[in-house]
Amino acid sequence: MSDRAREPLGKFAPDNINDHILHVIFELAAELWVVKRRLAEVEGAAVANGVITSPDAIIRDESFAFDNAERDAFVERIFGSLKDIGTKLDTQ
Amino acid sequence: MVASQTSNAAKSGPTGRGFIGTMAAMSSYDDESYLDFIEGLRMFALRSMNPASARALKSEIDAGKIKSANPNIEETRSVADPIPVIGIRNRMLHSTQGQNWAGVVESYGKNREALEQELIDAEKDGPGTLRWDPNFAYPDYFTAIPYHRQPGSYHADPLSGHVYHYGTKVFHGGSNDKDEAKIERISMLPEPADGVMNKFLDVACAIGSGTVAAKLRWPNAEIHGIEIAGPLVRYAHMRATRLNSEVHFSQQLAEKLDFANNTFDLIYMSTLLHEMPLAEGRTAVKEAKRVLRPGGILVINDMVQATKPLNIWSDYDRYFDHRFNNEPYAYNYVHSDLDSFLNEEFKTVKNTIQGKTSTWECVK
Repeated sequence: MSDRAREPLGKFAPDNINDHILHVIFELAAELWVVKRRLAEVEGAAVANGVITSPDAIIRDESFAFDNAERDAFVERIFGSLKDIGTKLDTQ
Repeated sequence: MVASQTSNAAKSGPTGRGFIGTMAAMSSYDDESYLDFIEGLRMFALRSMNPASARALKSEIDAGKIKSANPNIEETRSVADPIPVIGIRNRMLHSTQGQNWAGVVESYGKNREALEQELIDAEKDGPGTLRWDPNFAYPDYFTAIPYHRQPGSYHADPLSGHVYHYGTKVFHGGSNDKDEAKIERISMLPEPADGVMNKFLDVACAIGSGTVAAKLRWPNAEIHGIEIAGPLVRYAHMRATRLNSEVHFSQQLAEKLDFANNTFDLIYMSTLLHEMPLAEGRTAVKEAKRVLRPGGILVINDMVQATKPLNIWSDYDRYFDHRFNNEPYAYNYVHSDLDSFLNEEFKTVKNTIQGKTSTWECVK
């Protein structure tokens, strides 16, 4: 980690911005998941067929699509720490 | 990486992308992926954030922050709302619900013409039948608010049935994509003691998944489903026609059925009463009793009634849903002492509770 990354973040945003930030995170994570899921399909098709004809025409293929457990693990990895916050936020 | 949801073989159906279970797939792969994520995030909120939130509130209760064993909701909220993990849970549930509806509406909207056409095309098809009225007079309590924040609610958009079906798929984590949850629920219904089971009525059948499940269980019986919302009952008929299920759907008020007295052997009323003001809900139960034959059974599935001493987390959770997810009548319903009312109306009443669902078997 660089020195710059260790600099204090400072406090600029108002306290009541948390809801908005969280909502943005949810949207961002959704979009990331869209990309990850599509990439897996495209890669699978590329490996299987050696050519990608039309990514826009993709239909989910069970041989290499993510299943719900993989999706849920992805969600847990990103948001899992939130459930441990409990009754108090760390104010350090 | 396994378990395809979309039928890969058939690039068919009104969106041209096949079906997920019994519903048309989203209009694009990315739309489907977006909602798949929302479904996963909602499941995380329910499976992880909910228990963590309940534990956090309990720790505050144990620390003496709430004095009463049966606090009113204002007292509970004054303690629960500021708890960080609860605030994040609330944010998550509220955002995912909005993202769910917006995603489904936008995606199906890309194929609106084809989706509306399939409703029209199915109207005269069978093997079942459909009765509905495009000028149906909805009661004010029903149109007062878009239920569960669904855009257009259940009645104001011709695609409300399509949107409801995919939206509830996400809401329930895909547990009923092929009607499997409804089939299991219907399999648990009792039959009248005399063994006569010729006519079944599904009150407030929504998109008719329970109604179709009833036809599977009792193939020789006459199966009816009634629903207040025109788009939902049209969708129910279209879906049942696609599944080749002989079910008779009609648009009716649960409070004013057009069936004769003593018609049905078994009546199923699932998740209706919490969606109505108390007076209308009581009227609906009496109306079901009227069309139920002596010895017949009315089965009610709905939210668990509030307990004493109060389960404070459950009460807070219910209030959150009521206040922030457009469940205008649910909080009053859970505090309404339904048990006493049913015991006054029916010869025998048997109540069982499974998770958040309460079941009353009422014999006339």
